[in-house]
Amino acid sequence: MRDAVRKIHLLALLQLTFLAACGGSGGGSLSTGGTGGTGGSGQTIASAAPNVVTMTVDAGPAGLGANTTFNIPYISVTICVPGSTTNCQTIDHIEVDTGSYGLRVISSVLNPAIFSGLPQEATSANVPIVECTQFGDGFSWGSMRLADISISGEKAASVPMQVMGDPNYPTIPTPCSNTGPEEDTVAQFGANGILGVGPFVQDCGPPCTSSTQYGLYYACPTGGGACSPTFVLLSQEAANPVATFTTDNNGVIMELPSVPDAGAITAKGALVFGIGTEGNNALGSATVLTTDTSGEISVTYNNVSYPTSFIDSGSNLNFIDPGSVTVCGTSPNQLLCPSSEISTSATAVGLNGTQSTVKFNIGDSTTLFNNNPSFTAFNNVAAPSSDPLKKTFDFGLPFFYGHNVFTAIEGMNTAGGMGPYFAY
Amino acid sequence: MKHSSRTGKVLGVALATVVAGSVLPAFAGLGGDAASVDVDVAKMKGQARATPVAGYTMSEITLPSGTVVHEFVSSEGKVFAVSWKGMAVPDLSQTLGTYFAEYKAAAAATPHASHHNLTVQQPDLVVRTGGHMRNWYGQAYVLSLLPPNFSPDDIK
Repeated sequence: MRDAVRKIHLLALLQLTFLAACGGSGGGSLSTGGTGGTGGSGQTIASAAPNVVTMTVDAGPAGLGANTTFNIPYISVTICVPGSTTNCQTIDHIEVDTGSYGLRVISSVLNPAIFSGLPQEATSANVPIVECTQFGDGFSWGSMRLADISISGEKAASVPMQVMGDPNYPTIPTPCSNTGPEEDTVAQFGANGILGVGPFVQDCGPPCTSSTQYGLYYACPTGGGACSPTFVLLSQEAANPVATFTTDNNGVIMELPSVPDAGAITAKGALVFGIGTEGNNALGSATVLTTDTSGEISVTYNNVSYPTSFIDSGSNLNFIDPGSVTVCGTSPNQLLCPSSEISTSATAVGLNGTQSTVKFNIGDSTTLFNNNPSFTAFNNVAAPSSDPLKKTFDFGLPFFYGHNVFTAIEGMNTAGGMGPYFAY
Repeated sequence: MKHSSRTGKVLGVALATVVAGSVLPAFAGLGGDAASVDVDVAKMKGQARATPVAGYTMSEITLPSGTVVHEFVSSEGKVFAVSWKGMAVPDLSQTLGTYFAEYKAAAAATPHASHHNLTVQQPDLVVRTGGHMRNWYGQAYVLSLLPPNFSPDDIK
């Protein structure tokens, strides 16, 4: 194994550019011939309705240059100054992420009237609250503000959201900048913002109401004084706005169509609000997999159990234990590149003991990307998991094509029981 | 969180000395010397225990946030690999040491929209991160410092 890994490193050194972005020389022909998509038979994608917003996988917002995106689902979100019906802005290319919580928007995309109108959250000493959001590839730094959030016909009043890269707070505390690279511009982030609709309400939850050890929330004096770590109220934490909708507030369904094995230029589906609350969002025969307090389930793959696994629309690849499959590629992702496409399966097991086996394919990711550089939707691309403990199987966006994936929010009742759970 | 050796070569467990002194070496974390592990424990206010394995020692540092950091020290006394997993990302300038700047610069050079994973692959440095909100993880290693019989796959 060591020799194989070292060989991969040597190979990577010879690759001077990011394979997925450069396109150009094709790496041989792809052996396809498998069935398109994963599952998908009988899938219904909701048509336009007040609880439905179009969700599209495409190359991302303008201004990304060579770093266009793939396997990232986007929607449009409207924010208003609380109580206003006129000081509003609709923002496109908001990334939909079941692996995080709350709405966060890049400050530079906000128009000045709404930016200045969004009230800032403050501590009990009336010091503005600024968040250091930790992601898996860097951090975002920006003020916590309140906004009325509308998506299609759904509305949430006065919800805490983050303005990423707020120029009013230019000095990032060292403990925050020490967590990685900053991602506060559209070019750095690959989206105009992100909507976290995972199975919890807040991004931190109770821990950040009594401890500053997590490094998420800071009190930053207006006018530029030094920021200091702070507790916040649960109601002040960045929050999944779906839980605050007046109706259809117990979860979401991500509905993306199947795509061919070779991929597709784009994929257009729907983000549906509510589970079993309308005629278009019934749980049906979907298998309910309850999660633990981290939002995790167990997955068995190749006879190995991965107890800290999750289902994440914000992961653009399936991140799995590569086993004997060839690893190739370099920054920003290593990739799996089998010489011929592999058809395999994994069994997801909920905390409730129910299980569901998922078939999926692993193609040669670099060849898939190189064959069609303009494609953005792939159901068969995977990469090695970064979990050092080798306990994680991350069902990323490739899993979502052809499945309607339900995410029920903690403490919310549904026909399938109480959240938190995933179902598909 | 409990971790058992996958190789079964654990020879024993010893408590590491926590250095809370005022004079700390400049170099700590990845690429630092063995004493830098104690520096990391002190600076990150963690609790540590060291597990000698054939050819290297793994120190496990539990941070106040609950996040667990592992630092791997070779018999030559160099930190050649680190890993972490938990609710909060640890201070990576501490755990990656002098390699932190290289990691940040390389990551910034290849921005991407998937915020649950990243690989930075440099001539001598590999950093791989990922996870989801409420449970983040990562690992990093220096190729030229890996002990002869150590594969990156042995990181845990």
